[in-house]
Amino acid sequence: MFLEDLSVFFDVAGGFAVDALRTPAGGVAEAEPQAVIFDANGLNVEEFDVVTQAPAFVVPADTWPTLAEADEFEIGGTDYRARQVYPHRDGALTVAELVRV
Amino acid sequence: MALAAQQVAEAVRSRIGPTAYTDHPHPFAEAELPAWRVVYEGELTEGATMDGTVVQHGLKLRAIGHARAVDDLDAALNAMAATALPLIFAPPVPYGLQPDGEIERPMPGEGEAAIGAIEIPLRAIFFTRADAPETILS
Repeated sequence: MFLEDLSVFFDVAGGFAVDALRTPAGGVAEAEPQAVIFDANGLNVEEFDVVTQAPAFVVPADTWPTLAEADEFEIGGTDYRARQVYPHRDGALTVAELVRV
Repeated sequence: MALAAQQVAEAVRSRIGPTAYTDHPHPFAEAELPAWRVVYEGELTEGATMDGTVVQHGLKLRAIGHARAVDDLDAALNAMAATALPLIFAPPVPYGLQPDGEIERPMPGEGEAAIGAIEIPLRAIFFTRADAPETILS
């Protein structure tokens, strides 16, 4: 398996990432945040004549191997909950689709 | 004065309250929710007298409530309807306003999957003179 070096992207200080503090569903907040690439807007969709969003992040799959639906995250001072979690392409990255709570 | 149908829609809107709109064709922002739209579905007119000078109107309206809730979206929508229905049908009910069919609760899965709607079909029956469409006779 080709092992990509994703660290240059998932670098909060000099890359494209931001900190996300995870609270696993039904658990307690982890001690340290992890770097994710976050898209606050995702896309604007109009559901039943309401403009809404689809925030999401991508994260290296090995950062949170147990990442799952209903995990919660604090990103930039806003709380989110994972709606869906799935691997992206070759599985090196995981996508989490979020909802603001 | 306004066309009779507009007066009826406005009566429904005002009964629901300030979060209801008849003039909001553009999408709501999430911050505006919960909110209601009152929209026209159709208006059947027919002569009520032999000479057609008095016209009976059967106006179909739909009150559509929009809510955002991360958890228990269905409960939020049902609560909206539970609040609005007594307001809409508080006696004396104007223009023969009555329920008209199936209440629907569409809840899509796009975006944050936190937006839903509850749709209440309504029907009003009233009369105008053919040459005075802005004056409701009853």
